[in-house]
Amino acid sequence: MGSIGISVVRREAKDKVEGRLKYLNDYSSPDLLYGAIKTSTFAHARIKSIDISEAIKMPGVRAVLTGKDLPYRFGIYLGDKPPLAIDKVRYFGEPVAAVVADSQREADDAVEAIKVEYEPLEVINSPTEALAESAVLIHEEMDQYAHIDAIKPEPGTNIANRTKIRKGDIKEGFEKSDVIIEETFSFPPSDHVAMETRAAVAEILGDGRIVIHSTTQAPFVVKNLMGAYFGVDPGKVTVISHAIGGGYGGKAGMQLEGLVYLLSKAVEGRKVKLVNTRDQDMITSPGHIGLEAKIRLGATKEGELMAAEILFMFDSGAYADYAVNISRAAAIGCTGPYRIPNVWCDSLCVYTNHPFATAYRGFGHIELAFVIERAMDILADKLHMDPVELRLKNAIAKGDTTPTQSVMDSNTGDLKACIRRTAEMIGWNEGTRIIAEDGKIRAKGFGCLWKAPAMPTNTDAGAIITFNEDGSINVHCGVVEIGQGIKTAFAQIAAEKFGIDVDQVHVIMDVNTSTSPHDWATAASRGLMMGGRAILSACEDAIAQIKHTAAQVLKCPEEDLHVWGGRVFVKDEEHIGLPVKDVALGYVYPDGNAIGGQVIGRGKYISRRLTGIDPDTGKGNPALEWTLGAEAVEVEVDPKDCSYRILKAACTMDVGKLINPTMARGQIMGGMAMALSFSKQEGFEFNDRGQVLNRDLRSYKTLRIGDAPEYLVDFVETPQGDGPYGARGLGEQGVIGIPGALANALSRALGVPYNHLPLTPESLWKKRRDNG
Amino acid sequence: MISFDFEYYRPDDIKEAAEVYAQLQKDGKNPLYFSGGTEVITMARKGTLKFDALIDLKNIKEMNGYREDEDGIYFGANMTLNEAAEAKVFPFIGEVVRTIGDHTIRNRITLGGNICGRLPYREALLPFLLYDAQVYIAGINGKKALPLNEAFNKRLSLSAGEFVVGFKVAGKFKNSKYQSIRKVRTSEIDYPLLHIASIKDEEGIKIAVSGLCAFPFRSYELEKYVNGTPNTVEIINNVYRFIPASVKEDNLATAEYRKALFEMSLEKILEKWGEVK
Amino acid sequence: MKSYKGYTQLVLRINGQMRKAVVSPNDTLLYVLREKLGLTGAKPGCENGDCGACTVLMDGKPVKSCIILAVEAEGHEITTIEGLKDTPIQRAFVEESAFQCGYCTPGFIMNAHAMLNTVPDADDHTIKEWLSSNICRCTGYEEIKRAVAKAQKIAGGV
Ligand SMILES: Cc1cc2nc3c(=O)[nH]c(=O)nc-3n(C[C@H](O)[C@H](O)[C@H](O)COP(=O)(O)OP(=O)(O)OC[C@H]3O[C@@H](n4cnc5c(N)ncnc54)[C@H](O)[C@@H]3O)c2cc1C
Ligand code: FES
Ligand code: FES
Repeated sequence: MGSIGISVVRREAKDKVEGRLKYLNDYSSPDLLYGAIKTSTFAHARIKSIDISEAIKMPGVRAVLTGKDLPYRFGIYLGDKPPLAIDKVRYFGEPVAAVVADSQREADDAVEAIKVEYEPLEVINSPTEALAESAVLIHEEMDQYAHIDAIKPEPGTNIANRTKIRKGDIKEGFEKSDVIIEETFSFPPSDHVAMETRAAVAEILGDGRIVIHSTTQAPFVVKNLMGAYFGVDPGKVTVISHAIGGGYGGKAGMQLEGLVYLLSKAVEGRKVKLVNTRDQDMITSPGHIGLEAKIRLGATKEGELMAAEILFMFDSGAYADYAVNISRAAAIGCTGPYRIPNVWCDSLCVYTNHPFATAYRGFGHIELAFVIERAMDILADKLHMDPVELRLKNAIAKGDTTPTQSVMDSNTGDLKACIRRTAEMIGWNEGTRIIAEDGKIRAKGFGCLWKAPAMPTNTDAGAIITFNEDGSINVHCGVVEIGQGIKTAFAQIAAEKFGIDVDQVHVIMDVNTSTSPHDWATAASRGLMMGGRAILSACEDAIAQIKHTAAQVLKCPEEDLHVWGGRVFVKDEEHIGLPVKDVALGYVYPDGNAIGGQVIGRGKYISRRLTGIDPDTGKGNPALEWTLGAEAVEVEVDPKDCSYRILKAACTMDVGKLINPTMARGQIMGGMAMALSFSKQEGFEFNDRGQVLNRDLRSYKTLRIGDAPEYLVDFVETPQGDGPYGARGLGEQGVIGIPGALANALSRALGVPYNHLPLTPESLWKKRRDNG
Repeated sequence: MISFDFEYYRPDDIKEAAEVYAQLQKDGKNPLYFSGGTEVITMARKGTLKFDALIDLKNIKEMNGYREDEDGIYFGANMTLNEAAEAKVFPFIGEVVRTIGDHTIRNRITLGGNICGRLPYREALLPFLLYDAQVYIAGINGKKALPLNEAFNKRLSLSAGEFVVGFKVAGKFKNSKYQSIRKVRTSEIDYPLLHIASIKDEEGIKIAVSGLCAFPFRSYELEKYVNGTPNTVEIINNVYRFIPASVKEDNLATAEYRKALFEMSLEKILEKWGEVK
Repeated sequence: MKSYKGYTQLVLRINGQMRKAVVSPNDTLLYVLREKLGLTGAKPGCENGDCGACTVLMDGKPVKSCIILAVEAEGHEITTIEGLKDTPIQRAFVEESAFQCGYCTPGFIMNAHAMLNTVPDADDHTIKEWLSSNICRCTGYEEIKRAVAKAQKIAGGV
């Protein structure tokens, strides 16, 4: 049969092309009330007064709330964020008041009528400013914030978390280095720009049960946090997620759900819907983290890396949200996929008056890789060594240790094979800088990637398998479909296990926390690996039950039976057997007697042997699996005005085992496109008052079809021993090496080091001119 | 969502449009003409434009399509940019307007709306300025024709209640050579940092520019200087004497970069004209 | 002269049917399609004319329904994604996996469908010109390009 390694068409394909698939905002009902929020026009200011007297009197208005009404502090790791600002605002676009009304228009009108008076405070516009001795504090009450142990806030400063890595002896490492480079890097905060903006609907039923529909990647996290924030019994909270119009990390954690629940509560539990406008989705809701970084990298004259000293200063924006864990993940992977014996890293999550940051595809790794991959090229230059050769020489492999001193085990992918294949695809040896007749320069740049999921040590997944009368299977799993095709991959995994056609496997698309088995979250690219394992174990459980019943009918030991192709049969006498459908809902003898009952396969998986990290040295084993790969970019630059086109983008990734080649390629190309867009042209632009100037899609530019390069994608398959059929995560990884690769290509093309994103033609031109 | 209420009128001819405008004004209301609507709806939604009534001009036949007669080609103000691009009479008009917005939006943006809009770019103006077009303006007192280059100074001067009906370009321009350069920040689907359009005919080189200043312009003084100065380097060195306003600086680009683009592009254009005899 | 003040009944021709809705002059076509007529295939992505998720056809031409007033659509033939069934471009989108989350898909399909009707032999340049009107954030656009090529083949009977 064989369902693995085949490009099965997506489950929901037809509904998608007919416009019939419903996203949350496509549902409406006459009993809905509508929410709207008033946002701050200042980036940092005291709230002197909020006048809601007019708004509350307006037609259709059911409730108007301000921060004073809602004494809560939200935060997935660090409770620092009130649902509506209390006393002061900390970023431009922060919610200060909310309205519930009979219609969206009435709610919007009432928001207009709310008057807020501010007293401006000094605005902190970068991590460097935030870390200055004299900097004002963005969170004066940090010492009172609840937080989990792994996060180390530093009250009295603007530091929300600091993660330390101390491996080997950094001093000795530099002493042994013949060549040392030192550089700084940066990029501003930016946005996910999922095409569907975030939305949530909440309702409190008569018996106190809370039902939330949300565009969430993490319904179980929402459920859990609802319990934690509001003291409600988790069993009374149901979170349902439907089809989602893109997430990329931005729909993980708690988004609008907490606030919309409070709005519902303010109107006696009636159903309230809250939908972000595009500008709210960009600046009021969290986006992609910003970064300032410094690195010293040392190597022997043969190019063997000896020491890395890295300071990450992440721009978390006004609140911590996922940023405190992103900065931690960046520390854990700070060296990139290279063997470096001596490492010193401080990774700081720093508050500023920018829109706050949450998870974003690559979670700490796209950020760290930009720094490392640029540094590798700068080092290669100084060593007069080919950058690909330098990477090959230091590529991490089985037996090497990571920055947290854990040993790369026998599941380690083959980075060298990835590097070689990518170099081949991009034509590295045919020249990395060519000047064409028209004066344009074609240049290539390289960047490697690695990523481990950043997640709790007890991250889990569950699956339930039930059967239909015809023997077909229903798979129930709590992982959310956000376009990554996970449900289809799950169907393939189950079909493979039962030796049946994928069409015989039905996957439940929506996730409902009351009926779906528990699942951590659709994040960290762990869905396939962990959900896949849970499904395999559910299949095994179901198969055992099928055998148990069939053994009685066939009068043979269970161990002699095999389930395959819709039948259960004796292994060595295949003609003796039964159709699965005759057993799956209980076997019925000709005389009417029934035995066995229905088969319900239960499967689960929990991450194995993970630990936290030591607060002083970072020592520990926090990584479930490392996905490795190599990427490259080819550009064509006009050296006069520095405008450029991206001609090619290449990626080779060691995915362990390909489950669905088309979808895997799709994920990787999509990741590369997103990262090209990010590094070429994205990023918030702030004025000195901390206001975001480009908060619509007219001024914030994402890649379009005409900008898309030719994609070259290939795979290496070194099995992940503990992955389903040897597979490991690949959903986010395509983004990681690209910013470095693009910056390397442009630096090579124009002969000037480009260390700051986005790489707009003007920024290239200016730096080139300033460098003479 | 547009948060305020307004009335909507769709007159069938020019007279009706002017009359309903006058009547609404008399009633103390604030009416606004409306064609493609892409700017009006966007600004209304953002709350940066308010009005009590819209007068949709799209049903006025005289303003639709293009016609050719003995003294030239008439372009109705209601023509969408795609219609103007597909009307092959003046390929240069197509070349210029094709760069505005994206293809789908160009099914709505009209010549009249683009030229009378509030944005600093109004790129559809460039070829009409170069072609010394006549602009037809209608109001409560009827219709008049004016040379566009006189009627346009930073913006088209229209009195209250007046609107643009169409443009006329003399047939002789069909033979003039043309070229244009458009520069953007990063994405082609974006406002221009600079858009230079240029034609060359028996009178010499003509140049119109959008993106560089807060409004599009054509400068006779610049053209005179360019046509009288053989040395490109000299032209570039002195060019800012003929630019009618300061070079724009905003979050798309610094003035410095805009200037650099302008100089490079002008040089390229002049170089190419040097080759065309 | 037609005129509208306050809420009035409007008759629109959508997907070949006459549909009635009570609308206000300040309602956009996107809003009326979705909230009054239950046609939720056109999606709000930016409501600013930038992303193309709301694309529908007006007299066969793609337009962004978020920056059109519903009253402007009177007298025109509107086609939404719900009005397309088993067209070459829809089949090609499935076969080439030209989407991930699918949120941009109805807009892309409407635009590509109109393009293939207008310029059946659209070359790379034309495809780029038309389809640059839409944003997809999930794919790298490669599969969408392939789907268009495939639809051209299907329509051409190859
Ligand atoms: C996605 C997108 C991208 C864009 N990109 C660009 C770009 O690259 N370059 C660029 O220049 N612009 C660009 N624009 C802006 C665009 O130029 C304006 O929205 C458009 O020109 C307005 O034309 P319209 O026909 O829609 O006018 P409307 O919105 O109907 O009207 C605009 C103004 O003109 C007035 N008006 C309309 N018709 C007449 C008339 N016949 N006589 C007198 N006054 C009239 C109206 O009263 C109003 O004040 C873009 C817009 C969008 C939505
Ligand atoms: S929603 Fe209409 S273009 Fe984005
Ligand atoms: S498939 Fe998700 S935006 Fe295109």
